[in-house]
Amino acid sequence: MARIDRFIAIALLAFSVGYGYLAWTHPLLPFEARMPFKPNTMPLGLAGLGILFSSLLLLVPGNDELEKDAEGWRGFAWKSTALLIGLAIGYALLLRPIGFIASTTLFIVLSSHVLGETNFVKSISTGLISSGIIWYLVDDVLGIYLVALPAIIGGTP
Amino acid sequence: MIDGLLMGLGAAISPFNLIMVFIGCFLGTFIGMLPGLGPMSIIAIMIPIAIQIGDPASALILLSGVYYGAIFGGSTSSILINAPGVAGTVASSFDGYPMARAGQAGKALTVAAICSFAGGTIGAILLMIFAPVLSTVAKLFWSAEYFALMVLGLTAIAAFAGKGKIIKALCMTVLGVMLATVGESALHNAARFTMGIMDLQSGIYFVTLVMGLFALPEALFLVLDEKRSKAMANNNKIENLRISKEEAKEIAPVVARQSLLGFFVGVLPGAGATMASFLGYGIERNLAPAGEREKFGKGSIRGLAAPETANNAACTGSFVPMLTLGIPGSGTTAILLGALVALSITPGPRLMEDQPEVFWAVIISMYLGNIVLLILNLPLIPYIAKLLTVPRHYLIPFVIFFSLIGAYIGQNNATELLIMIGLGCMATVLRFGGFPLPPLIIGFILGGMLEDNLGRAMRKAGGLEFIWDRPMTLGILVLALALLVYPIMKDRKKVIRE
Repeated sequence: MARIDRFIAIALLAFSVGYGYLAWTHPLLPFEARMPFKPNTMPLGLAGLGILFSSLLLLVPGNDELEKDAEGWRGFAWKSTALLIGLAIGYALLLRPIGFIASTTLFIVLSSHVLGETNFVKSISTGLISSGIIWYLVDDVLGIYLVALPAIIGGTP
Repeated sequence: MIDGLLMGLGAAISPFNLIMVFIGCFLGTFIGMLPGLGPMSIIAIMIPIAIQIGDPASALILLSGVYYGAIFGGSTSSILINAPGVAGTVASSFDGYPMARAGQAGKALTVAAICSFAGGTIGAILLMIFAPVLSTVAKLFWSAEYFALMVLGLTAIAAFAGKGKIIKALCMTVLGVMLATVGESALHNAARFTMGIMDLQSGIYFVTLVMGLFALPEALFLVLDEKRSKAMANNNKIENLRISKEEAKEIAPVVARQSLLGFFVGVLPGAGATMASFLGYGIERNLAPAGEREKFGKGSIRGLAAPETANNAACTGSFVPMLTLGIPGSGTTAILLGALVALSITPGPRLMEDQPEVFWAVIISMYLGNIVLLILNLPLIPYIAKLLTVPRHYLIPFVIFFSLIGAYIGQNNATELLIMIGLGCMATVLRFGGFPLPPLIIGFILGGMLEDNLGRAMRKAGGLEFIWDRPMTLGILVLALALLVYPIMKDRKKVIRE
C-alpha cells in the first residue's frame, strides 16, 4: 500500500531536482567562475545529496514506524484545523490594515470559538486584555514598533 | 587572581548592584520567554538603560543578568510549548517538550534551571582560570577547523536516526542546509533561490522557520488529535518538581562533561551556544547506555541536561575571546562588546592590566547572575509550568499567536507570517510521514556557517586539500564520521536482529 512517506520522497526528489537546476543555472560573475568555491558549489553538492537520499527513500522499502500522531488520522478534527489555519492566514493579512489590537482580539475570539469556547464576553475580554498588554510590552517598553489601531482611525501601517 | 576576585567582589556586592542583577535576571527571564526575542535583542534593548547607569561595573552586571535570564527564559518556552525562540535552546526542546507532554513540565524546568546554573557557574570558574591561555588556543582555529567543527555538530542528527529513520533524517538535514542557502550569504552578495521574492533576499528568518517547524505543527496536532490533547490536559499536574537521587546521579556526569565541552566550544569565536548544545546532545546520546539512548528525543532527562548545561557554559566561554582579544565570539557578545565600547571600556589583551576592576566585575557578575537566577526561578517554576493548565481552547490560540508574533516582531513583515504558516503545514505533513524535524533545523542553523567556512577554507587552499593538509581538520572530520556511522551501524544491526 502506498505510504505517505513515499509521496513525500517524490516531492523531495522533485524539490532537489528543481533546486539543482536553479543552482546549475545560477548566473556567475566572471571572477566567481574562476574561484575554487563558487556561489553554486555547495548548492550543487546539496542537490546531489538530496537526489541520492530521496531516491534511496523511494527504492529501499521503509521499515520504520510512522509517527504515532498519524495513527487513526481519519478520526482527526480536520475541519477545526483548516479553520484555524484560515484564521492564522487572515491574521497575517489583517495585522497591518486593522492594527495589532483589533486583529489579535479577532484571532483569539474566533479561534477559541472554533475550539469550543461559548462565552463571547470571556473570549473578547481575554483577547482585548492580552493584546493590550502585549502591545504595551512590545511597543512601549521594548520599543519595537507595532501598529496598534486601524489605519482609518490613526494607525500607520 | 585572589586580589582580582576580591576587587570584583567589592565592585559587585553592593546593594545597588544586587538590585541590578535581580532586575536583569527577572526581565531577561520574562522577555526571553517571548519567541523571537533572544538574548541578543533583549541586550540590545537594554543597552541605553545600561549606559544611563554610568558605572561600567553596574551596567555590566545588569546586562549579564539579562543575558542569563534570557537564556533561561528561552529554555522555558522550548520546554513548555515547543517554541524555542533562539537557536541555542532548540536542542532543549528535543527532550524537554516530550517531558512536559508526559506531565513532567515542573521537573523539566527544574532540571533546566539547575543545569543552567551548573553550566554557567563551572563555566565562570573555567573562565577565571583559563581565559588568558585559551585566547591563544582559539587563534589556532581557522576556517578549515570551523568547517570540520560544523560537520561534527551535524552528527547530532544521529540521535533522530533510530529505528530505520536514517535516510529520512539525512533527507531532512540536506533540506535544512538547502533552506540555509536561500538569500545572500557572507561570501556571496548576489541572493540565491529567492524566486524573485524580495522578503527572501536576506534569507529565511530563523524564528519563522523554527516556529513553523515546531510550535505551529504542535498546535495543529493538538487540534487535529482532540483525544490526545484532552489526555495531555489531564496529565498537566505540576506536583512532580523534585529530581530524585537516581536522576541526580544520572545527570551529574552529564553536567560535568557538558560544562567542560560547552565552555571550550564557546571559547571558539563563531561556534557559541548553538553549536555546543547540538554537540553536547549528540555526544551524550552516543555515551548513554543502550536503553537510555532509545529515550533520547522522547523525554530523556540526560537529553535535556546536556544541551542546557552546554549552552550556558558556552555563553560563559564566549566571553573569553571578547574580554581577552576584543573579538566577539557570538552575536550576543558582539552586542555586549558594543555596550562596553559605549561605556568607554576597550576590551582586548590589555583589559586585565588596564581595567582589572571591570574584568573581575564581569566574572563576579556571572556567579551572581547564576545564583540569583536559581533563587529567582526555582520558586517560580510551579507558576511558570501552570501555563500548561490554561484551557485547551485558549492555550492553542495563544501558542499560534505567540508563534506568529514572534516571527513578525523580528522582521516587522507580514510576509514572514505567511511563510511561517506554509512551513507549519509542510512540517505537519512531514510529521505524518514519520520524518524527524530536528535534523532539518540542525541543518538550517549549521548550514550557513558550514558554507561560509568551507568557502573560506577552499579559497585559501585552492580546493579541498585543506582536509589532509591540516591534521586538526582531518582529525575532527574523522571523529565526526565515526560519531555518525557508529550509532547508525549499531541501530541497523539491532533492527536487522529484530
